[in-house]
Amino acid sequence: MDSENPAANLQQIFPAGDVFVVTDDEDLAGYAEERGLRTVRLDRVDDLPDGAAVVLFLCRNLVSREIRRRFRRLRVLLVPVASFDPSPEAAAYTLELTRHTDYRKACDWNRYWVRAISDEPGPLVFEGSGTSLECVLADRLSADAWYGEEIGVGGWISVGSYCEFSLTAPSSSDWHGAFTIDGTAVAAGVLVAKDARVTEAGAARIARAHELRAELAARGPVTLRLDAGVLTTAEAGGEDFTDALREVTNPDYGLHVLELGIGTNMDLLPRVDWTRNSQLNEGAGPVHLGFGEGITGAHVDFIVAESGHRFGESRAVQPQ
Amino acid sequence: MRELSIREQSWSLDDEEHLVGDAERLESDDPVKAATIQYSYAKI
Repeated sequence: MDSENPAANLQQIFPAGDVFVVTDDEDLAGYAEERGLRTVRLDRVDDLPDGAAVVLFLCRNLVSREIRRRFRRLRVLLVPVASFDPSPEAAAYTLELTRHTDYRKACDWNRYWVRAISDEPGPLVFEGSGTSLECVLADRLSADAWYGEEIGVGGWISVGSYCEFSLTAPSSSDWHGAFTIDGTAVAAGVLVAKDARVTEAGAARIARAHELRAELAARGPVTLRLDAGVLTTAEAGGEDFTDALREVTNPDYGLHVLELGIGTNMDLLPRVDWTRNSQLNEGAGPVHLGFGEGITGAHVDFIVAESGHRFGESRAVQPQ
Repeated sequence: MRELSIREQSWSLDDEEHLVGDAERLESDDPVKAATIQYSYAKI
């Protein structure tokens, strides 16, 4: 099953019944309709039959309790476009990558990571094309990933849960309780995101983070250097952006790595435009590092596009 | 070798507006602890 057959991809997670695109954005609704997708505006979602399968693109609204409540009787794949870039171009791009994701293969990769992280000894190493990251993992870990394939009635699954296997620091007083990372990463892509619980101060930092992201994207790959789980330098095009990143991700966090994100959607890589601020870019690279939570400051992801991985000195066995 | 748990990825509300499922972490006052990098959660 393949990313060349987008209708079949969504049937992997919604095997029964029609799949509806639901959105709060008129431009995206028109775009979806032009491509023959069954499209419903958000204000008409109550017209959908019980159990209907929905891909929900929220462009004008962040997630809210009111919105969640309206979808309790439905099956939902959530794409929180508004958390990233709700412009018409970015939203259309995100819709296309959502359609072209091979969800079954992403689940295979998530299952691989569950087994590998549980069973393989030694640090997790990502290396290749200038990247050399050693990730020492804790003996007890909690991760975010979805590998159940199908979404049932009442389900509310973010597309990101399929497309990455994510480890995060336990708290702001325990940055090393899940992992400690050392080394160098060469990032092709940078993303900026905000959470629905964003604070006023956080929103101001996120606005500046978007400007910073545009500057980074214009300068080409970003080279990150990390020491004991802290970003010590971030350089692009010969310029140092470390201080600027510290400020926009909440300076209280001192550029501690908040997220070790492992991509599970690498088949998408040929379709990726790294200039786009789209959640679907995140899982297309083998690994990404995240700083900030998107609440008190920006969540900024740096995505490595090319690297292999191993555990310790072993050769890891990966899904085909 | 390692003890790995996978967090619940979905959340919902019952008719009394109570959280259903394992979402207590998401209500933490510590934003790092409450962070869900999938942007699918909204607090009261």
